[in-house]
Amino acid sequence: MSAPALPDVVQLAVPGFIGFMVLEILIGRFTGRARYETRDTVASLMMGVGNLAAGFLPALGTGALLIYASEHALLDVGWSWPVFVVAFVLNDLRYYCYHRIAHRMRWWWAGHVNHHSSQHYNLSTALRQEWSGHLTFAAALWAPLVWLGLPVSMLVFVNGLNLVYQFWIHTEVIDRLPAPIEAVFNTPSHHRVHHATNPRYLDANYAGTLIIWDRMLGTFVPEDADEPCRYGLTSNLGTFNPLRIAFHEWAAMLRDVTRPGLTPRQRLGYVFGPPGWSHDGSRKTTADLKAASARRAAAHLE
Amino acid sequence: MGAIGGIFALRSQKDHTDLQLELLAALVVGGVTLVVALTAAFGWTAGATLDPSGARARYLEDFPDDRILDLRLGDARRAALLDVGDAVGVVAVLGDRALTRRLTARELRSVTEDTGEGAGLVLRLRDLGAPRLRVAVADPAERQAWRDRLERV
Repeated sequence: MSAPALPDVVQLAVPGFIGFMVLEILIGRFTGRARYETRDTVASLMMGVGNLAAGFLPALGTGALLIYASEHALLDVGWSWPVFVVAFVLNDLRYYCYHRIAHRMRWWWAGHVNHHSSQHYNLSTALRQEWSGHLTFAAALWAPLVWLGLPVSMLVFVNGLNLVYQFWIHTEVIDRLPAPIEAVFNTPSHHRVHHATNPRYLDANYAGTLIIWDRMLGTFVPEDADEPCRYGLTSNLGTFNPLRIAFHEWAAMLRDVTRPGLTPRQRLGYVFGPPGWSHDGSRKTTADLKAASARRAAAHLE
Repeated sequence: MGAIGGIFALRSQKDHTDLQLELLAALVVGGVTLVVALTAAFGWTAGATLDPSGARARYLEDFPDDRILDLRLGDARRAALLDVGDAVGVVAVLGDRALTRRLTARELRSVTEDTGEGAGLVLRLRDLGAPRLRVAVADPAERQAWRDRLERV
């Protein structure tokens, strides 16, 4: 197979995004199983539009890195269907790694926090995407795959499929799917846990398409019907302003880093430490919140 | 879902079988309008209101170790102030949900009186995710009492 012209599947999915949101809204209206709020929805959709627009910006350093990796690729793997499948699976693992890093290091969390900033969980939440991906060099995680020999356009294509897959799992309309599907794939149930702020659900289920990565790497947490998910951030935003949603964490990070009297190590901590890290322990990380919750549960049992 | 990031810039290297930009723009504008119009038509624009037990429960969801000594619901029932001993808690409605903050001197930038329509207190925070919160308290004496309490944190 010669190099095919691959479509931008995210763009092609736009009519589907709209159609399924309308369907979910109608289901919500007549069954109460989906909840929307107008300004929250506007904010989510504006974040999606901004993300789409940001995608046309030049990639600067990461683009150059990927071109370099492509020119020095180890293998010429060609364009057969098995290669597409391998690319999809490896890209899904790459997504898991990116996503886990994005929750554990503030530099990447500063962009990804936008996606978690709604207290709602519906299909519009799926489109609440970051605007600052180009600033974070996250695309550098593609470099090993490109260096291995996977064509960049193939990776863009399979990543598009991955992102489109993740759209439909942002819903409360679907409860649980048959066990074999829940065992292998990321599902609405698994991803609800990922968006929840209940301490036991924090930092879990980073999967894109395949939940097997979480199961293998110790980050899987099942949804518990006795503990409904509370969505949003551990400290929720007080705004629907897309600009503030997009940049509040970057601004906060800049303020922390430039605070007078810090050591270089402390300044680095504010950039690459976990979200909630502070040099004087005055803030709480997710690890702190989980530990406090565990202490309360243990005290409750005694 | 996460950023596709720099990869996008490499799109121009391939032949395009994508949507035309004009069609994409029309779909996005039409789709956003349709979705937003539906949510408005179904009445999902009305903000939540708080009651004392709801405000208390919402605060304790986020700060379960605190003990609430006193609670004052704003007149519009869209915010509540809570005395939790060494800090003042705030529950503020945002759309049909609410956010919480636990304010000490470190987080609180200033407290001013809003004497315009629906008098109340304006709390300016150092928190860039919620820099300004407003609590409607029409009674001047009570407003002053909460202002004093906030200035003591």
